[in-house]
Amino acid sequence: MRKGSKLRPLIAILCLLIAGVPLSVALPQLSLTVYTSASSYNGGDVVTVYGRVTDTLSAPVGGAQVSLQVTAPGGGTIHVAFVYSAPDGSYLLQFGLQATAPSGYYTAYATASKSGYSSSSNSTIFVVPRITLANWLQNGLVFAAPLSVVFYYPDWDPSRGTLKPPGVTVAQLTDWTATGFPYGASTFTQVDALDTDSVYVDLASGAPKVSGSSIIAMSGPAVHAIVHYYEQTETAPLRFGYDSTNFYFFKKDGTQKASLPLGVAGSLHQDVFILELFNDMNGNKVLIGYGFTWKGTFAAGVYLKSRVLPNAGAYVHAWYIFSWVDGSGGGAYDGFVDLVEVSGPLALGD
Amino acid sequence: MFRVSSEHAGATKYISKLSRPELCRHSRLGSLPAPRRIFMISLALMLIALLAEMSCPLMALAARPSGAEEDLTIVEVYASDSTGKSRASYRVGENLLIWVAVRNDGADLDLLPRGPVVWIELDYVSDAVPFPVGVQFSIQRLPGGGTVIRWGAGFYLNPTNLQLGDYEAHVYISDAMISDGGKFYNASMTSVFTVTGA
Repeated sequence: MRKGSKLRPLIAILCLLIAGVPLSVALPQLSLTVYTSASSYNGGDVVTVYGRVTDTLSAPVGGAQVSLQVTAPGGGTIHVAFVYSAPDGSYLLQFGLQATAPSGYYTAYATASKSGYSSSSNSTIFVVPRITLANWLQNGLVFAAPLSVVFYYPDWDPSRGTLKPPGVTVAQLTDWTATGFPYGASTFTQVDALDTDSVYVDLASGAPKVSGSSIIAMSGPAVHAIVHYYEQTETAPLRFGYDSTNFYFFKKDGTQKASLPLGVAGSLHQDVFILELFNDMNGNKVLIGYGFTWKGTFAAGVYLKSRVLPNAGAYVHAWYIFSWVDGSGGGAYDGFVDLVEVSGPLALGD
Repeated sequence: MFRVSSEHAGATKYISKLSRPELCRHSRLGSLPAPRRIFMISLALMLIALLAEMSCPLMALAARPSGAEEDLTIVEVYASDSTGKSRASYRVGENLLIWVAVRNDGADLDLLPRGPVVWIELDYVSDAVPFPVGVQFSIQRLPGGGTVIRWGAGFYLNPTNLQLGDYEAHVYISDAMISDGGKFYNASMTSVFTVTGA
């Protein structure tokens, strides 16, 4: 027998093994989003968990099995369920919270699986009890205990610009003006901090270093590291976006809630602004307000001080979007924000 | 009845058990070869061993759909009182037992310590949306070959927070906790009963 013929079986085995390797890693990876209809609930409320299953090319995957497990504070499981994704990749599950549901952080874990794909897992957090401007503003801001509120300002000094996380630039002093309104509403002495202060901020991520406090941030994510962090991590219910023609506000699940052409916002006579309140993962209650431009952010401060605070009981949701049009509602076209020029809410939610 | 592929246990064991003895037999075949041949054969065997080692976990993943499958059937789900009597209605303040029987007609399903997990959830269903009032789970091996496993979970019908009306017990089986990246097999059977006043 020739030497080559003895090696043929070995070569054949080698070829089989080598051929087997690429076959085994060819399973496409599913991707899964998980959201809840609100970021906080009361006992007795109905919780809606929803999201979308897609493949590596972001194409919807229908018929995928979505497994759900919801855990309560302390880790005990309160609900399990499964459902199949619709042809557009979407899925939705609902369940009720017991009236005696304990306060704290709840986690909804989900796994998407389908034959021929690698499964994927994701999770989201919600909080009990429900947080609203109505039930928070007085104790969380106006009469909050001394040094229990941290007012975060976006740093304006170019020499410290590199201390901000990627995607966040130095602010202008106009970005500070709106903070004066909630600051003035505080009864007691509170904490001031720059978003570049390493004592109060994790400079790598922009995450606040405080816990169990009230956090106030009145600027957009392009200049404010704290706001940028909360939007990037999908902790805030709303997020900012833009393209070549418009500014936008989106819910964190990507649903568009408001928009304004860039040129209109740039006139500084019309804007859209948000006021949102939510819990973060460190026990902080976070109030964020800003508009597409500094003028809209200023309008958020004016509206918070002059309309929301005196009528706090009427603001029974966690987030609101309003519109300001200079000269509308009988106001003067003078560049100042008059309350009659603010309309809305354009959208609201929890 | 539902079918479950044996995604973890079977395929991995098959490859790891058979690949090495096969290699050993090859190395003992035939008369003593010349040094050059020994070198070439050794080199080839080293390559095979290396590739086999690299491809084992990957091949196990790829073998899921076509490998051995296990048949899991939730044979029975029912409620009973603490004496084992099954009734259509129970009173608040009672201790309720939900029983589940699972038959595995396939290979052993042994994913310990992560799974498989048998779940029982008790839901209040007189409203449009189910209100879960309790979830219990058990991580246990499910022997194959038609073996039936029975498990019972206790629920206290707490008068302080339980609503009167219709309840369902749902059973699921997963390969691990969902919070640990696990997923449910498509298994659920419902037992319906009513909870009445004391």
